[in-house]
Amino acid sequence: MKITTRRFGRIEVDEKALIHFPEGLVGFEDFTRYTLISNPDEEPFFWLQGVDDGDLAFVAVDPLTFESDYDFKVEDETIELLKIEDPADLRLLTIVTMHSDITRMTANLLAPVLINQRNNLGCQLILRDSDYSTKTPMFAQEDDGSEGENP
Amino acid sequence: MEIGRNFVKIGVDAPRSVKVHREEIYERIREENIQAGQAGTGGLSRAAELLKRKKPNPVRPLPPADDDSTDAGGNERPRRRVIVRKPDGEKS
Repeated sequence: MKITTRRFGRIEVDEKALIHFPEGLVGFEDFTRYTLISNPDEEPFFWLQGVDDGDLAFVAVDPLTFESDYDFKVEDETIELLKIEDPADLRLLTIVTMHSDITRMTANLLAPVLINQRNNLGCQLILRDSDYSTKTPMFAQEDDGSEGENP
Repeated sequence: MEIGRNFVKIGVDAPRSVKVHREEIYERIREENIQAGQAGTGGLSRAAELLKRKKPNPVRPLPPADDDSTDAGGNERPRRRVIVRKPDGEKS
């Protein structure tokens, strides 16, 4: 199928590459179909591109690329929703918020995205009783003190 | 009619405050998604370069190593540690 996107123009999406989010994403419950787009010079980042609305796209990345001890429990309701049989089928992603100063980009570790690659079902979790932040800095601010840069 | 007078007393208890807390978290995540959804394509390749250069955070002691748990430079690879509990309660 062909879809028109704001960022990538008109693209072909293989039906097999469609990822179905039965509950959508938080705040975007009506948009349930996505596909992952990767561009060689942007790896390991992906685009979680909305299929129902071509304007909708999120930057996503495996959180283990920058937070190697990230972990959480997957609740039974998620196992049922995604019909998880084998944890090895899971792809873990976190949605990234870009920033005009790229070193200040953040990742939403409180609400990771899980995709069951066996059946292409996905969901965005809301971790319970978690100290993870929706705005986890991805890069250490070594030269801090530039706080007033963005008034 | 005095329906209103009793009505206002309903719902001020602990479960409600838990629910309010959940709603607040939901709202925070919703706002973050909205902000994240405004990303343009510029800058991402530079971010990718930065991320590749960045060393993962210090790795905590890990379970016994597999053969491929270190890369060519002898560094430990980040490992997937999502814990999935099966419906019968057993960890897998």
